[in-house]
Amino acid sequence: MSSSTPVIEATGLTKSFGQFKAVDSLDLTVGGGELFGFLGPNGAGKTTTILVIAGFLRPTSGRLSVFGLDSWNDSVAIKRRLGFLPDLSSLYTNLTGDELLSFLGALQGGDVSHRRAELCDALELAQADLARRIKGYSHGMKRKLAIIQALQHDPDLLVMDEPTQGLDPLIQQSFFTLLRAARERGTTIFFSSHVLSEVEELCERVGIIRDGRLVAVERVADLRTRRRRRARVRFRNAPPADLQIDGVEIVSRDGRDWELKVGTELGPLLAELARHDLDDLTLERPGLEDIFLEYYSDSSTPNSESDERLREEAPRANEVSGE
Amino acid sequence: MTVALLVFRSTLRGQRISIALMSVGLLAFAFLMSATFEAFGVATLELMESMPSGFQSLLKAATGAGSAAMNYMAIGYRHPVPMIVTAGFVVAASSGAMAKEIERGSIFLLLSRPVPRLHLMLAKFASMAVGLVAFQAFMLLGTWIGATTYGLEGMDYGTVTLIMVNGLFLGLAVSGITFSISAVSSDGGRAIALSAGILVVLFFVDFLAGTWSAVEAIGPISPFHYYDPVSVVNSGSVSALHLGVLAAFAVGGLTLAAIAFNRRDIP
Repeated sequence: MSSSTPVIEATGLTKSFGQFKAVDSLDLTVGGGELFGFLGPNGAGKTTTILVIAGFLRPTSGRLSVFGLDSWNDSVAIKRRLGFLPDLSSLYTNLTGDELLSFLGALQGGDVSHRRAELCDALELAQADLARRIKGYSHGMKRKLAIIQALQHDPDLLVMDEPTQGLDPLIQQSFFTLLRAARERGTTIFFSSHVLSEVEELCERVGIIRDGRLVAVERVADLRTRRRRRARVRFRNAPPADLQIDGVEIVSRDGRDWELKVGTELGPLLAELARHDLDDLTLERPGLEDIFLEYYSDSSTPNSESDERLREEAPRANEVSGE
Repeated sequence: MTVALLVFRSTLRGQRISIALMSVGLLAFAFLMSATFEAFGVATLELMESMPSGFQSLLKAATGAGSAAMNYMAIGYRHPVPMIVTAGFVVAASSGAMAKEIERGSIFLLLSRPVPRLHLMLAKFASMAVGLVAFQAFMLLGTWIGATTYGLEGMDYGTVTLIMVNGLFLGLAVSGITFSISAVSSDGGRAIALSAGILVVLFFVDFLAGTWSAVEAIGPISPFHYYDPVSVVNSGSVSALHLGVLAAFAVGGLTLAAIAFNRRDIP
């Protein structure tokens, strides 16, 4: 789906607030029609990057272009083709949902009413709800409205910051379907999240940002392939005293139940295990959250606060993915 | 329809109730001024004339030519009620124009559309200006209804209109100051507090300059210095210089606001 023409291209992008570098020397290219996930815990620099893309923040140094245009100087031209879903959008609560969508659609130009109706159906936002003032909406309904306003004009680029906050799992799946359909039509989608499973489910490529620095940009499939799997072993009899195999790390031992991390080469481990009687052996491909945690723990400048926050968020990712 | 017009319409729609209520309130105030002239008018003017010059300066109430009714009404136009209502609206509208939009995050919805920042600001300014025109028009209407109802003699509606024009220019000048504060703020409450504080200081600068000869020279830095209804009654005209300075406050403030808002980050 993705074409070689970059839609988003950052070169040495840095954004500082005083002495604090929120984004530091970021190099990133997102191609046309790509669904790109931007991962990182709160405070890592995701929202700052997104606000630079959308023309709200001026780069301190470096360059960020969207559709080949400068994100700051040409922001009005870019926004003709942009759909934007901010993190904490505060809607005009005195308006009805219908009034807000009409107003924002008119600002974008063109007739969006037909597309809006389709989106409302897909996200189960009834006409009766749209006729009510937004101040009476639940958080989830406000989120649906925010999603619709970003999609209703069929943008060429969709930039979203934590788009699934407040959506129940069923609506989330409908939202993902809409995103996939948009991508099929050629829309480039860039979204940030700290919910790893949704990025894993949706995206072809991910960028992982930590403390303002991009620590990895890879295809999700490649990440999984290159990263270590988890093996759970139950020995039938007394387990060996130790396993000395290159590329295999013992994570935990609980009597006959062992948990191991295995590199890309499974042969040596399987050969060693074949020498023992086993009750059970499971090999799990690494989830994105495992990979993500590895990136965070591998760094030479560990950020314990970020790691801690990430570990707290990981269960949520598992709940959604059912892992 | 241009995006600026859409934002203007939407903003005006959001302000229409407060504009309507304040306009009616100012109409009632002007009507009451007329209604109270017979009972208090002459006594008030005599009282003002017997007051120390400082107090007269506070209300810019040093009367001279013009009918008693016109002088009485002119003092009323500088009464704290219309001054506070007008300044309060300007402060609220200008802080709502940018700082409050940023504070509540709704600016991201507006400016993620192809809306130039300058157009957004000018649309908000235009909406506020409509409110100011309505206030002056309703004050004029209230004056006419009251004066007609109570048979005030010596009313000159051409001069009253000039006073309203002077008041409109004062409102625009104040908005130049408050818009420039809003343009650099990300907190609506702070923008309101700062704007209100600066306006109070400027009001007292004008007062002090009128009462204390040692600081007389600083009076012209305050836009309130250039709003003097009694002087308009006395001369039968509004000073072009005064209107020009007030316009310069407005244009200068808006220019600064536009530059700041165009260049600033919206975090």
